[in-house]
Amino acid sequence: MVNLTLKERLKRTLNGKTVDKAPVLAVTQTGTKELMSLTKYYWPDANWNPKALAQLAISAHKEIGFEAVRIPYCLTVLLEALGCEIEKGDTTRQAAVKGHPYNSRKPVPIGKVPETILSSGRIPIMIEAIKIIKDIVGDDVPIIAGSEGPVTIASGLVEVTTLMRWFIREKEGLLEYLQYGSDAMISYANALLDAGADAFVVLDPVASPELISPKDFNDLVLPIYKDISKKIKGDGILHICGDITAILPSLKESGFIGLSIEEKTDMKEAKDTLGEKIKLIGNISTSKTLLNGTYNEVYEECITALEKGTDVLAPGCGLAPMTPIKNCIAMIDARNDYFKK
Amino acid sequence: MKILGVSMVSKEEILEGLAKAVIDGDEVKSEELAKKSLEIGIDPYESLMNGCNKGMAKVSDLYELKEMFVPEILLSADAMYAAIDILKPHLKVDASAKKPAKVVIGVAQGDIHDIGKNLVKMMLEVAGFIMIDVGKDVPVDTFVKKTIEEDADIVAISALMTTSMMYMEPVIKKLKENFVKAKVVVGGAPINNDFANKIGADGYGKDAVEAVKVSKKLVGV
Repeated sequence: MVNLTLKERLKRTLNGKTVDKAPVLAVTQTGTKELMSLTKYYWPDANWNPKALAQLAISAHKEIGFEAVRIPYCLTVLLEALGCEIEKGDTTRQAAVKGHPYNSRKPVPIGKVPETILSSGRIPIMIEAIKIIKDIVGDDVPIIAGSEGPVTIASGLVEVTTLMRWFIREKEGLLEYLQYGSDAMISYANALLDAGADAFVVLDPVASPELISPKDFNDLVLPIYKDISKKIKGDGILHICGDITAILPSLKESGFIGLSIEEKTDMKEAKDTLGEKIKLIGNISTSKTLLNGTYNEVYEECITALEKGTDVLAPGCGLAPMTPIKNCIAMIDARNDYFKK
Repeated sequence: MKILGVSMVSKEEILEGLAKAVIDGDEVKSEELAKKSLEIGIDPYESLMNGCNKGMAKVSDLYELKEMFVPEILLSADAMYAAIDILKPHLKVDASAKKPAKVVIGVAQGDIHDIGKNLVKMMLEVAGFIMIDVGKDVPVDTFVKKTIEEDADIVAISALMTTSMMYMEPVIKKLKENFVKAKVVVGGAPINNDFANKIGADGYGKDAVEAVKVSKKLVGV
């Protein structure tokens, strides 16, 4: 087990092979204000510039020690390419979707994903950024790309409360939109994997049982996930926010090889339900400890997460921009100490 | 059987029907029953309290038990508001009644996620509070200004994003600086009790149902 590269360690971990220690990294956004100050690449502009995207992402690997480079910093790239108006945000505020082009009580037929999708919006910038990252970090450091998942895409296209009502009133239209989001996301994911990304994270906060029922999730969303995990040409990871304990049995059948969870989902309970079928990633609190806690509190939480069986030690969600680098380093230290024989 | 000209059977049927329409999220039915209730002379206040609100109380119980989720609650709210729109113009204002507590509610600066805020607003409304909704992405000063203007009893702030939760404390500080006595209740995904205590909030609700309990406690109802 000597001399595993970071990429080999992550790949082996996700694919259920033995490793010397759990990788420590983020599958969610890593841009923080301190990293922006260090690199001099700031939000919001960094979201629209491939070099800035690459350098800010690499800094989380170089300055913190996360064992992967992860882009982008928001959940708007694909939605922008699909025609949503974007609010750019600022240094401490993520870009967010502002306009919902398909908001309508009755679903408007949405048709097929435009063939030009991969040259739309910021998608070419993301592809370029991945190539730059690969040139700089080489072949040994994994690159993780992520995007909004199908339910979140649909919620961006039609507005979330409208979409929620469709779950009951307009199931057919809902499924059409979920399929549309899924088709768009699969081409996007595969383009980024072709460009050099090693893993792809589907981030789907709107699919959380904090919003929709586990039954709706199982009946309407799970089949879409199964299709996505089959069609993504690389290691597929799923991230859903909130307490997702209720949908863990469904997720076991989703086909993803990694599941990223927040601290609201208990790591041990997740492990007990999923067994070795899906590798668990998480679940250090981005709010309670990483942002608002101390180095020691983060350290302790990491040891607990490792004891409870996390396969990849990671923040439970996107890092808050004001998160201190020092608190993130506690994650690296805790992992190193835990695996010291 | 008839008492005061209202058929008891149909009155009960209508109130129960209204509650059921709200629980089922059937806005066509709730609107129809609200009209019917006026036709046969049921006091609109009674239809509101023993029909709509009774239904919504059940919805809130089912939500707490995780038997209802956001889609179901939104449809219930639609059904409730459809009935309220019909009943409201006919409600008699009772001048002697105790003034209900007033809540200024909004989503913290930088945050556009307002589903949670809207659920809390609706449930507080049902619980009898007067709601002043200042919307989403609300600047600190707007919370303070509105609270003073409205002489509100409670300020309720929600945030989904870790970036926006940081704008809660400044609201509390500014309210204190301006000697505003209103209580502050906070909530939202990244918020927990410790954080609420740390920033000096008077209450924290982990979900909409708890937000109502906390708010009632703070104003002593």
